[in-house]
Amino acid sequence: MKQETLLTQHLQNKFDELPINGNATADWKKLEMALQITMPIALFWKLWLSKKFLWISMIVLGGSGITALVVYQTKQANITQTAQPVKPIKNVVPGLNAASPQSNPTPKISHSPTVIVSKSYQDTPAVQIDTVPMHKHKTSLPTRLDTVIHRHKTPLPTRLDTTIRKHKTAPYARPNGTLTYHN
Amino acid sequence: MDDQTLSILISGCMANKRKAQEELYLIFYPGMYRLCMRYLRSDDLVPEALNTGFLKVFTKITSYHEAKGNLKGWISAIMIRSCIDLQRSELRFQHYEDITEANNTPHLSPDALDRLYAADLLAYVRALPPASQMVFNLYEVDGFDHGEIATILGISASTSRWHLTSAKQQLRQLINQKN
Repeated sequence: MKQETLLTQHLQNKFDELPINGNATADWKKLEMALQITMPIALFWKLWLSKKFLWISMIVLGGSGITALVVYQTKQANITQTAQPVKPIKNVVPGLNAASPQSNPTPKISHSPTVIVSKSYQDTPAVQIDTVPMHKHKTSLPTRLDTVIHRHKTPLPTRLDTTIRKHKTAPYARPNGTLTYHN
Repeated sequence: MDDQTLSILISGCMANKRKAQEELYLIFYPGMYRLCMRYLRSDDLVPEALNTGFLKVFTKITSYHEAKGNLKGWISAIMIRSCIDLQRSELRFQHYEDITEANNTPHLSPDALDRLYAADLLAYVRALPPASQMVFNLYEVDGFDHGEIATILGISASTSRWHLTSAKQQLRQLINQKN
């Protein structure tokens, strides 16, 4: 026998005599736990790499993408159809020149309504509140008005707020044409 | 263990049957434990290398064919790679000019080895530098040639030869001191 082979054989025999101090059962339990986690991942990975699965997943993803697009477009179309024309503010404070459908048929869309304060409360228009398309802002107008008032934190908006609340009911017209408000 | 039983176990492992996996594990556990002991420098690392290796065995067993060699050899190859991966940070290979193996390799006498206890021999092998320990185990115990060792460790064949020569010289010195 060749010297090298003889040495290899000797070494192998010698090392086979080595005592082992490991616990096979305990080590198997550890491996079993690792297998329980790893094997499903390995199987999924194998499946994932297969061409058939790739095609199926592409079809499923494409289909769900198209469905989502169709649903989105249908929703958008419904929103456009159900959009109501903008209603003007009905309760108007004396001295406030609120926009009416006649005077301003196309309401301005503004995210920050302008507040114009006149010198005299009685005669000239004091505050003009732009009408806001309801569907755009998704909040009721009074709430929005309230927000605008709070935003300014000056005496005038507070006063405006008080005035508006005082005249929550519609004014009634006298025979001579003047408007009377409930106090 | 006869071939038929082994084939049944392999089929069970391929079908991911836990019982078959356990039986295969317990059959090869002692041999692979000793193999890991030879390649690693501490007994503490052995269970880790062993379980990493067996995990690879069970996840890759579908790629095993008898044409690739016997199952023990296939599992051993996986275990060796698992040990090398675990020790890779410690492996520092020095590159040397080609040396002629036959003239310079010191002779290790089998008779001298016979007089040693297995535990002493393991201690001597572990006393070698990590790279030389790997090459010695791969070449002298597991029968790989320098070309294969070069591929496994990512070094040149001449570097592998140098490490083998170095390992044998050091082992001879250690064995002579003991005797």
